[in-house]
Amino acid sequence: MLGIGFDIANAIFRVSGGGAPAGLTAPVLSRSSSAGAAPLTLDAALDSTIYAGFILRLQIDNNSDFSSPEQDITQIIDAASWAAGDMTLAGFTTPSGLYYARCRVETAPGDPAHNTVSGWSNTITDTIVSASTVLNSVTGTNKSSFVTVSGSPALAAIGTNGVGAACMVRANQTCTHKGQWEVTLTSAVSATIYIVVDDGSTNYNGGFVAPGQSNSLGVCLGISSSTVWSINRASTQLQSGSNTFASGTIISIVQDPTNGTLSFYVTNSGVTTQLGTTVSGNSSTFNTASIGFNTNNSASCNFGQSAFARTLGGGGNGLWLSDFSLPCWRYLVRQP
Amino acid sequence: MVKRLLSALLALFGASALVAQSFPQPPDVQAYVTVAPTYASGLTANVTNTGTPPAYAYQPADISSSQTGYVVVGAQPDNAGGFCTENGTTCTEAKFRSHADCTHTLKDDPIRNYGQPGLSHLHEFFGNRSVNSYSTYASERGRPASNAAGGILNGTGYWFPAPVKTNPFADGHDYAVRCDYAVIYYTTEPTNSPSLVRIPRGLRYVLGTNMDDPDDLIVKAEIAAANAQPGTGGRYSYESNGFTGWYCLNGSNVVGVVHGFLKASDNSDPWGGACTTGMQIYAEAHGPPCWDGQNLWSPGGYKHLRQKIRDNTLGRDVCPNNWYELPALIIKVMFTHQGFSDYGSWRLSSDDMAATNAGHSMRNGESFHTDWLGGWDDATFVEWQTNCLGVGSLGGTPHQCNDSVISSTKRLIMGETAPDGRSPQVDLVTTYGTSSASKMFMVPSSSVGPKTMHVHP
Repeated sequence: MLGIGFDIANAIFRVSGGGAPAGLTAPVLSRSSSAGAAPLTLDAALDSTIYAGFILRLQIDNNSDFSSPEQDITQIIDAASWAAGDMTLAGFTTPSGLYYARCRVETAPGDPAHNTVSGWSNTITDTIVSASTVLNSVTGTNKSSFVTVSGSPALAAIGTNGVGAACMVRANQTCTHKGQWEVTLTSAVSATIYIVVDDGSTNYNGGFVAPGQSNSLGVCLGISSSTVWSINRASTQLQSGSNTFASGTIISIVQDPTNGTLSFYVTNSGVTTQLGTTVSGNSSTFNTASIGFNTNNSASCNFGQSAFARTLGGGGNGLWLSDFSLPCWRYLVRQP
Repeated sequence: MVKRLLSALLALFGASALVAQSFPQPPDVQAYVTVAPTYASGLTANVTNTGTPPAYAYQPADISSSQTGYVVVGAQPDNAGGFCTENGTTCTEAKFRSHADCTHTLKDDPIRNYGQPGLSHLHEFFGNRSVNSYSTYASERGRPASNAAGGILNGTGYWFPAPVKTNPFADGHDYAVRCDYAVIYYTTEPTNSPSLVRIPRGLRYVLGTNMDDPDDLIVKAEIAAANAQPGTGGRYSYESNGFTGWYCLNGSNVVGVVHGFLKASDNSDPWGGACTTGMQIYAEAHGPPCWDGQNLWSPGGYKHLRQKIRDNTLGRDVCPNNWYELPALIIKVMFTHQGFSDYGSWRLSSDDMAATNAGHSMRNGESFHTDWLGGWDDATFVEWQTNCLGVGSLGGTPHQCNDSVISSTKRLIMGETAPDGRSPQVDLVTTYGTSSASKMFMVPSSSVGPKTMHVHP
């Protein structure tokens, strides 16, 4: 009897059996979602060396060398996904901040007909800020790297003097809406705390007030943790603090560009009091906000991604929230 | 085009109903050695071989799992549900009962079409999440992530022909009905336990309707040959190919009787309207317990195992003489439907191929079968075969193991969150059905690139 089977008809375009393993072409990766927007959707273009049933591997990292990917996901490209051209990747979450992405195709181990993996695709990169992003708490010093948005110069690192910036956000345009952010000290702080808000009217290196930094040029505000909160504008030197803030203390910063004011509050045991007096006469816009220490301390920052400990009076909202006009604070980025 | 080509060739050469196909040999098995089943003549009893099966010598090396968190450790009270000593009254079965969720669809079949992606009819897989046409024992253990109880401990691949609805949403696409979950039994008659041998690593086979011989003509011919022996006339009779049929389930109660199809030849509802929207429907297949002991695989996936046949003289079911007996699979695959107007339109992806090979029409759902490619962590595999099946070669005692219990102190995770994040490990609550495209598996017109995949969270 003849060996009749469906496979015979198909064999003319199939790769199977012996011979050298066939190569797999690296996918071409692109981003189909809008820049900076969540959820992140990628397009992996696969050529005719790939069939439904192969495995797609996606890596997401915040470093371009993918030395320690934050996400490394493999999933079979099943028939239904293939038919729809749409693949929900289990375990894949939209990254926050700067990311790099690449993918490749893999076969099942032991597949003798194909090379085990294709080459990696091209790498794509972008920066995403999501309202659901939870900013990290940073401990230590010399945290000199942070992300920024394209087209703007980077804020200067302040780690050279042993000062660490715990949280830092920045918009790619100046913001004209009243907003609030909070810092929760996650260690007791007895040294200087720097809180800096910048109007972006000049270069950011000058915008950030730091000890010994002489080229501060914009509207710069610094607060030390002394009993008397002195606020230095356009200053190159901050006062050292003598007070101690317990772990858990929450410092709130209210930025009101309309009135050109900055106000500071501290919350302990649920009781909120104002720190110092409202500073006025500032620039009408802000586009950076940061806090740092000159010793090893830690803090977590809430730019509006979760409920505030203190209610913001007189309107306004968290910097992060979507009721600000785009592309203002929606495009905040964070450190690191 | 393929079907037209096949039909033309059949017509040209006048081929019989049994269509010979070429089945690529997987790389991790020995070449198939024919072991013809024979049955004792006269009044001589058929012997179950309890020695060491030759295939053990070339079963693949164990690839164990070192990651913890896939077993719940704690006493399983005897006779309290999960772990019940076989006692002939309240606990009459020797079995290991577990569950798995469906995973994906592919036109792949690593048993019948090894290394031929996209060549098979559309299969729906459950258990291991990465089975494709290149899957082997080693690949399953290499990628053991699974929707079965026990997670990576059970990297076994199970698959069945997908029930397909033709263009149900008028979008030009066909859709496969996604199973709600599958119930998996490994079972035997308690009295058989001492004669069982353990299931070898690397074994793979197909249970249910024989796609190459849907009417089981080969088995029936073997029975006829056995009965033709001197003094043996009428001793043996055919019982089943293992596919017991489709059941309608209302809660935990079976509605009406079982049917071998989803729509009768006159296009009527087998259940006469009694299987209504909201009820489930399930297909059940029983695996063959008789193994030739030589082969981990056979071309087509059926030849190295056999269902038992009836020995009317001695009043029992028997395996071929001197074959081995394994714990037998039972698979129940559960689906949600919207009444006969819905399930009456389900056509198994294998029904047309079975009709071609049988030489006569096949009713919807009539060709149901399930494929099994073992991918168990071997220590776990041995544990439940010992403690639940009482496999004689392992020195075990039979128990009735429900709820994925594998011993008096261990249970595979089921409702728990798995260490790999799957939660729950097996979802017995979510139902899918056919009410929307998002609940079903879209069927591809082609499985070959080029293709652009939109990848998202």
